[in-house]
Amino acid sequence: MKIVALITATLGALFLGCERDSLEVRTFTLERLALDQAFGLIDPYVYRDREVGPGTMSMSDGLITVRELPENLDRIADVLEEYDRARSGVRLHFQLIQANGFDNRDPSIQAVEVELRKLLRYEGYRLVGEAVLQLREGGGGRQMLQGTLEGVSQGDSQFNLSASAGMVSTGDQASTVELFVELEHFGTEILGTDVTAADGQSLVLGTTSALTGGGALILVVTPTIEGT
Amino acid sequence: MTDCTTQRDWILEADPEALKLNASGEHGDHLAKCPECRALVDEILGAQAALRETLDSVAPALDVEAALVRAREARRATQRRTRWQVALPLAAATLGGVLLMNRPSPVPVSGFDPATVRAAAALGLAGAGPLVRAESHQRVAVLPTENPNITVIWFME
Repeated sequence: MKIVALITATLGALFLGCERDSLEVRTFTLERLALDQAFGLIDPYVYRDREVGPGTMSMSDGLITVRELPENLDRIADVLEEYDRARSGVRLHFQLIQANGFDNRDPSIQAVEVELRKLLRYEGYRLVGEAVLQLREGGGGRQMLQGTLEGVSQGDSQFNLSASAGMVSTGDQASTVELFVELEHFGTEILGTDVTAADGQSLVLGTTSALTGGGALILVVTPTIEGT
Repeated sequence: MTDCTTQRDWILEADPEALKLNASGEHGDHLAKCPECRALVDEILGAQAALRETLDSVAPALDVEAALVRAREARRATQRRTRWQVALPLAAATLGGVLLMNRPSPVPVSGFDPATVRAAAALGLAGAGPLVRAESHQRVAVLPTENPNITVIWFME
């Protein structure tokens, strides 16, 4: 029994010694997470209660230094890669369309108009104006859209666009972004919604509006997600 | 088989006219005995009637039938993957892709609630299509188009 115990103790000591010897130190740079957020993510992979060679972690100014087994450091790297990637850029292209009794086809909205004609029986559609808003993931912005509404003076054809981009998700087929979009006309909201959209997908947001004399205002929003 | 799962598959697949007419036979027997399935049928038919009424009043020129057929076809493509737990959102979708998910709109966008995400996933919208929230006084119709890159979302007071 003594021999077995001695062998076990020796192997155990060797194992613990090996584990302690194999600890490595790695420093991670945070891209977007706050230190407390990163701490919450990483902490489960740092074994402070290990009897020999406990894991340690220190943090300062967007840097986290971890002393752990290589496989745990790899896991931490994977977690940070997934949750701490740099913020994406989101460019929103807006087209404001008036639906009513227009005869001429408007080539600038051709693709959307083709689909609208299949769904709705407004006699025609024309582009009121366009705007582009460049956002960062998690940020927002405003943009004035000066358009030309049929039957409305130029001064009264001004609109305000507000938008914010939430989290960008990278899927198997396409990246998506959560958006808040609002269209206002002199302080009156015409359209306002939260919506998720895929990269390059055109969302055609429509509603009837007194501004159009019985027609509708349609806001086409097409996000382009950059840097995913 | 007359269990609820099978019946709900049928309810979600059936054309509204078939739902209206099928008061007899295998489905009728089950519907007479099962208040949950009956309620689902009533929900679908009621929502369809509401959609027709709303669309007719908002935009008389709207081709409701075409929109319903288009939405139904799009939904069928993903129907087999659905679970009955998302039956009510799907039922809404049957009616021209209507998602009645009225919520106040926070700024900036926070995460969507799980039920909304489940419903959208069942519809094949998650990932590639829109999840929509509107103001509480609005109803929303999500109308898929033949162009996969274009989705029409109509807001009704």
